[in-house]
Amino acid sequence: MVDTLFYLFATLTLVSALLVVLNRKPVNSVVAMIVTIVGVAANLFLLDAPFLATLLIMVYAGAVIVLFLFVIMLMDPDVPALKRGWFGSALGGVVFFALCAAGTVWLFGFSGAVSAIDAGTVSDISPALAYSNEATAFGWPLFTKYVVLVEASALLLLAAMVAVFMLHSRRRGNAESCGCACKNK
Amino acid sequence: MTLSHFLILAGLLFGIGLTGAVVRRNILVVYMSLEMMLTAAMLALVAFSKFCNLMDGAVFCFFIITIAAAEVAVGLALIVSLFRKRKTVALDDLRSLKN
Repeated sequence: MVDTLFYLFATLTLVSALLVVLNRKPVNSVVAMIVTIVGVAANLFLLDAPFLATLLIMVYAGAVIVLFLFVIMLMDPDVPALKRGWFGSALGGVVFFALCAAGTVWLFGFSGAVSAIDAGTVSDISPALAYSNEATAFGWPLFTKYVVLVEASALLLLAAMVAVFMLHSRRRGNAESCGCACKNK
Repeated sequence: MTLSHFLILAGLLFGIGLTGAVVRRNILVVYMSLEMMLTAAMLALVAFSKFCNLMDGAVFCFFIITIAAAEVAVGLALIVSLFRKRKTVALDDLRSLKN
């Protein structure tokens, strides 16, 4: 049952990902990207991470992709789909995937057993860091082990917000933002 | 359903995203392909996290989501102001650094 679901969602994800790349119009690419994200979120459900899957759907499909839709609405991007010489690039992608797959098989074999880490020991040492599907299991490492990273990403979001404001403050001149200061001298 | 299943799926998704980022001309679709690569990395991280019985990989996905959100905000703002200046979103037309 779970295997069937995995193959179903994997096929959905990969087909819609191919549609993202191959579609001629950007709007169709965006819709296919939503399907891709839903497929990935379904795979996260299969991995016992429902919290993360919900977060992925809310943030990616809900915010990021809608932002893409707004930007596409603002401009009229009428661009041919593929570059000249796309075949070589596609070959590059295939070669990259072959390298990934070869590395996977070399490291883990086809069984998928993780041999390097004994799955029991780590959760014995620190039970709070054991894999679980509860929201508490996400919150505990976030505010103990990774608290510096949380602060850093908060700073990053603030910096991104300030950067977007700076880019779009039109009347001050967005390209020559130092120009005003120079003129005042 | 083993770790290799998910890793191969993530690798395929990453490969498709990489191909799209290299092949497409439209800068918005290139950006979406970048997002797809990030999503593939998230899938691989959660798969490792699940099969190693550790929470760290899943927690890192939070940071990936944060960084993706910040990147999309800044990148789309750049694209919009680029479109205002140059009236194009085709990557082939943006070659002023080439000469």
